[in-house]
Amino acid sequence: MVRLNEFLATHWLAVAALIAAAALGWRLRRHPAGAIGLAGGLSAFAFGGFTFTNASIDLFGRYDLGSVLLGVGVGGFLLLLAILVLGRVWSPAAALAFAGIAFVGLGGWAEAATGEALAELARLTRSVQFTRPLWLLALVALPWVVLAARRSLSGLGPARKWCAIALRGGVVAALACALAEPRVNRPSENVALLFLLDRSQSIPQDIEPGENVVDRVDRRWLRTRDFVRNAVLLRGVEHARDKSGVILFGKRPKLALPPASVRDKFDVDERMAGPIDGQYTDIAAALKLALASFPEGAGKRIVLVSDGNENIGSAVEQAALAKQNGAQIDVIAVAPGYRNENEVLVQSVEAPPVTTTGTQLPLRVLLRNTSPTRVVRGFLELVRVGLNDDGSEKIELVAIENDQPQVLDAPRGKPATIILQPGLNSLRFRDVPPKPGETSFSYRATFTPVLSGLPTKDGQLDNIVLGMPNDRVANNRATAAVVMRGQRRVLFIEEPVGGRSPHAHLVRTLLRAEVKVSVVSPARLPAEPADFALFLTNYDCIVLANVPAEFFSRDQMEAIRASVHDQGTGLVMIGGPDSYGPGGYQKTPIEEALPVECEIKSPLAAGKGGLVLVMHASEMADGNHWQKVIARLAIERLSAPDMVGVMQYGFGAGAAGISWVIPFQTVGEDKSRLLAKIDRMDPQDMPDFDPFLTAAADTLADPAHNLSVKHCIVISDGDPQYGVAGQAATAKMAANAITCTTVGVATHGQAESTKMKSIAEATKDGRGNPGAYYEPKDPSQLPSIYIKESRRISQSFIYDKPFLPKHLVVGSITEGIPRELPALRGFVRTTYKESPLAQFRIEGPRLADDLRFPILASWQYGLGKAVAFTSDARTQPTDNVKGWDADWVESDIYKKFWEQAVNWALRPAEAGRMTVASEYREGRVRVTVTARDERDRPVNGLDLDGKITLPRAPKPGEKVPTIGFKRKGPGQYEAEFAAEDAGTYFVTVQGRQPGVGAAQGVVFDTARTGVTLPYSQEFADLDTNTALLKQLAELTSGRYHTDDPAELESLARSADLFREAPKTSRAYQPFWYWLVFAAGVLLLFDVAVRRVAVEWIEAKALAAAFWRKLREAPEAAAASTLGQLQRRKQEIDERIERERAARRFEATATPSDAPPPGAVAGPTESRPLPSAPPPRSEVKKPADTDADMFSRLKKARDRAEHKRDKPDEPDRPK
Amino acid sequence: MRIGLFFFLIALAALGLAAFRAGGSAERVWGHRGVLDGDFVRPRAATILGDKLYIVDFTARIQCYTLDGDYAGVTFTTPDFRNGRPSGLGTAPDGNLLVADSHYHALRVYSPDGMELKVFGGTSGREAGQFGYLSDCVQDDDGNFFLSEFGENDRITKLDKEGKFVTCWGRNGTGDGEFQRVRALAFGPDGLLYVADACNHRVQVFEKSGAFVRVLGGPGTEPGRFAYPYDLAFDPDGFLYVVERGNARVQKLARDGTPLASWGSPGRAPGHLADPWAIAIDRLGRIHIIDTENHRVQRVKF
Repeated sequence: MVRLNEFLATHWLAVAALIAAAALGWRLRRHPAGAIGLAGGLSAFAFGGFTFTNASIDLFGRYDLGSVLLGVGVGGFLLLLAILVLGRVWSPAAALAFAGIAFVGLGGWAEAATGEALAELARLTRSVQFTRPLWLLALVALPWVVLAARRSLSGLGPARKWCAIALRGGVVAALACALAEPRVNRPSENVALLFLLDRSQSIPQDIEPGENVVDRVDRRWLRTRDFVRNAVLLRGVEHARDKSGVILFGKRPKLALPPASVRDKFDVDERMAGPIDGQYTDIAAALKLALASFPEGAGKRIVLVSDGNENIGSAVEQAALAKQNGAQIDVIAVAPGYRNENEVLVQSVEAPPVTTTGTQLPLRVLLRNTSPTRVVRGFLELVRVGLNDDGSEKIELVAIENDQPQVLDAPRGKPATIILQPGLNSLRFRDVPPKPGETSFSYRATFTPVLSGLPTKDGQLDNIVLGMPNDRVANNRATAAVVMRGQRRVLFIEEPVGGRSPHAHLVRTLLRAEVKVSVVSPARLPAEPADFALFLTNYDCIVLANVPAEFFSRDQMEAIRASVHDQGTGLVMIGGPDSYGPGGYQKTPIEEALPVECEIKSPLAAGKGGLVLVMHASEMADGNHWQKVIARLAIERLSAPDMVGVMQYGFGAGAAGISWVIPFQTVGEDKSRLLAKIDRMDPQDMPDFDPFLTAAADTLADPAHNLSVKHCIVISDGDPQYGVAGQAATAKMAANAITCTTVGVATHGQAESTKMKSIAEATKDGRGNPGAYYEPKDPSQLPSIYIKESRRISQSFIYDKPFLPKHLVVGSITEGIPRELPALRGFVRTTYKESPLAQFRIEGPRLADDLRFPILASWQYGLGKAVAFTSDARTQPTDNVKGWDADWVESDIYKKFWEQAVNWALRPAEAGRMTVASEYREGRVRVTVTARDERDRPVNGLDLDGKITLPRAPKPGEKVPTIGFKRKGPGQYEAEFAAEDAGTYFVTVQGRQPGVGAAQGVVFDTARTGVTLPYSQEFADLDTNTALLKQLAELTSGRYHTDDPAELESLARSADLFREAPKTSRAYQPFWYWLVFAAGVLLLFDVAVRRVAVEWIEAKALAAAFWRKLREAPEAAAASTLGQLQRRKQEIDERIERERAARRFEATATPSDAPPPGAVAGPTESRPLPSAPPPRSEVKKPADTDADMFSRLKKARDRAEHKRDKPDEPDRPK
Repeated sequence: MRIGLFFFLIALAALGLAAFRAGGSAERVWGHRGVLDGDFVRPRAATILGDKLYIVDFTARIQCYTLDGDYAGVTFTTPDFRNGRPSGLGTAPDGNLLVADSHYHALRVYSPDGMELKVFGGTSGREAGQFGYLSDCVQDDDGNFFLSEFGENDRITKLDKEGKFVTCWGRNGTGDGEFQRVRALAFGPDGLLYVADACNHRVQVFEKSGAFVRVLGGPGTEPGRFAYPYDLAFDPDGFLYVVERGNARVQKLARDGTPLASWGSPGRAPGHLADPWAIAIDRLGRIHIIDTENHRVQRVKF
């Protein structure tokens, strides 16, 4: 039945043609010739449609059979015509055969498509809507038009009259409809189905018990995959054109299979989408991606397969959007009613968030045992994680209080053995008060379950199970951060040279000024952004002393920036050849925090560098993306006078395949043009390095470029060949002081690494140093390599001649420092930041008229202050090392200047007049501030400015939540913000006395706190959230199912998911102008019908005459025709004779009075038309007869005269 | 009637001309970029097994098609491809598929439906019987395997039909019998082994014993010269076809290297090639060109 339906839907036009042919056949007797032709044509068309739709044939390639037949038919017919024109030969049988073939071909070629188009048109017509339907009343005028026309056009004859009336009616109807402004709305006929599969870790697994860890298969996932496949493949023919796609999601959604009308294979493979972060669930983001992925013009249905535990975003909001977009959400609840009863989790570690040295810390660890009956035994360990001065972790075990009932055994220095009763268990710890000078730290509690069992009456355990089969390890650990307030400390970051501090003199000077300075090398800083953020809370000011940017990860730089902006930490950057621009700080978060820009605006001819990048297609994941990132970074780091070129292997770029993405050229002011070219880069698999190395060597060695530093970077997987020509090129590089750095990305093995290393080592710079080889293990290391490499090139930032700095403004940092300053021996060029907050106190030498370069600049950035000093502090008087500031060291301003600079930047002291408490509950953090003055009276009316540091670096463009405080009681203020990410949130609140007018008030106090989400909410969810899923389905009128295997099976077979989706429509398309156009055309025809009279008879006669002319045989071929004509003439003569004979008897009833058969359809009324040429033989007949009679009469008279004369003749001789 | 016959002959001639002209453009262009079965992403090697075309692409999938490009329902991969994808396919005389699993230093023999039957090699190294990266494999009538290597070794290794090491020859270099990245091997009808020496831009000819016979071509864009010849094959008439990545064309040559014809130029339209990596020639002498960066196959005969 379904097949029949399907067949009819496809071939309805052919069926209709057959029916029409049959009807014509029924009426054969009345309209013989035309009907036979039409019926035959229609049948052939239908036959072609049935048989040859979508059939193809192999001729010199594969062609559609229908169109081939059509071509043969039409071609053959044309050939026959050509033969007719040239050869006067015509074979009706051949013509009929070719016409038949053409009709069959036409059927095969166009029947199904035309049928579909007509059906579509019909559907479209049904969807027409009128904007001003009142105008349709004008259609009432139609009958009047018809009546009026009948009268006025009655002179035209019936056919033309009705034609004209119909045309006129059409004009009126079209105009009326146009005025009603119709719009067509094309509703969706097909359904696009997107499966959203939740891959987050809260989905309970269904694992065959007793299997090896290796063989473990999550049967629930397999069932889901089977369901998706079956649902799509078994959707039935009527849904054959419906589309299906798959989105996998956890923290981020990924489109695994884009929507397509798949037929034979639909397997969801997790590898398709790459790794999914299952630590969070963001249903909203998945819905959003789904809405964006639906194809245009199809009904939209989302099938959400999830447990409903969302912990980022709001699915309900997104569902409302989906409804607005006409999408429907069917949900399949995974494991509804499931509750994990085999789980132990460390719910929280409670510790005072802020402490000062010398206070005892009361600590509490909350653990939850989710089993209703079983008790769990295991080890609980609480450690204090602090940081040593050099940044390394310091871990100390905290002792548990022994007198608690849960504690079974608490050996000194080892984790305690505890027993957890069903439900919540609270355990107390006591920590030795931290020593003075201790840094901020965190407490970390870890529980390791050993066994579980049912308690018996005698206190023993029964039914013991070792371990916890369904326990999730991620939630067996929790941390709490404690922010330390104490002595104000400065973090001094510098890179030791030869094991010695290059800024030792400055550090000693600061220590003498009683600033507590910790000197740390960047390599020892905590790498994890969360740890680094906590580490930074220990300090009130960060000094970056001539440290290049590549020593920090982007996350670390962001943490420094956030710490200045949001927590009020000070920032001082001291110059040197590795700082600011030459240090690669352009477009970094740190530059954002500085009062100067590291980029210089104007090109300065201070020696220019040349860089050639060689890009090879990378087979590593996202390899091409990273290549673009790197190339962009490299170009961004270059300064305007430098030169750059980028090569890749590309097809069509000559035999060697060298394609210059960026031809070697000066970087210039506007880098966007170059960056756009980088975005279009598409490197391909390079067979050998040789031509590229040769081209790079030739380009960089070209003396015309006048380069002072020449460098080449090759990024590759090491696969290309490095042959004789390549070795010659590297030798040329060494001879021309060109270095080549090679970066092996995802090399296949040791041989490739060796090869690339040998390329780098074969090249030498001017001082004999070889190029470097890098083999990053992680693509995120690539940018820092490239920054470092491209930093080699840029020469124009550094000014290294003595000059007298100009002291512009005396005050604050330079308070008490004379206006006349000692000379400096160099500085790094930077650009003033255009901000009213930025202050420029000391300026360097002006080079051109308008080019001014700051030496000392400062500003307020968020809650913190930042100072930029662009000369250096590397002078070591004891070691006789002279830096740019050698003359300053010798003068008496040195100590005063640095002491004041650092003190100015330091975070304001926390006076303890404001206390901040924070608390996490159900996705939100509540911050409470209490403000009291010196006499412990509540302070009201403070302006509170709160800033949050997130546990992770914010994404580009992401807004960090702001918090607004409201007064809740005397001296009490409260604010809330949403927290979704696991980790520590730091909150810094600055209170100000209300200012007068536009002026800001005096700072009352600053206070900080930290609140820790121990792990993602994903691991706190113990049961499924079917309520949310039901809500999503209800909101969008979708259906709710569960993942019960039987239900899934029947759902997949029922094709219910592909049921008609809510009609989505594109914008309504107005088409009134087409109607106006149609009315115009109809009007033209109306006039034509009335004015121009085409006579059917005349046309037919003309056609016949033409046909005769075509067939007029030339002598040779016409013999038979002539014979026929002669025979015909004979027949006619005989008939005439017969008629003549007949007339002799019945002269009154001459049949010649009857009009000839051809004249029956002739003009009947008073039409002054020439009558059609009647068949000659017939028409001639009466004329011939008359002539005969006449001649006979004439002859008779002649004979009579002759007789009268004749009798006289014999008399004449008388 | 005679005039009718005359026109019929003219029509036939026109059709014939059209068919002849079709030789200038591909007679069939097929293939679609994608990750669904039947689609491919940057196809890189191909071989013909009976009347089926096997193609391996940059997603490491080996897929089977009819010679018209209809997907024949077979898709499989080598056991692991994280370190790199197979880059050569060959046909064994017994009708099995030879897969040069380049980055796993192994030759794998598969049945036509994708069952792994045998594995040779698997260890990298310079010793006899160890391999660098395998790029292609052919088998002679006695069942001996000839494998080409690049990377660590630039050489050709001969194994007997049991997979035991027989001999190897060649090293990195530009001289006779030296190689820079052998990409493909093919036996000529003369029983000699033709070797596409890609980065030396030439084809070298050897006896089965490894004795050097002659060299064809050299770097260049003229007819008879090559730029990165990446694959070669013989048609049933014994003519040599070489596909060049650098020149984006396929050349037809006599066995002595005399250029006879050339097809293709760089571009995206049908009849153009973008970085073609491989060719395969069927029994009818039709050349299936793997048009790698256009993610398609073009079939021509010239």
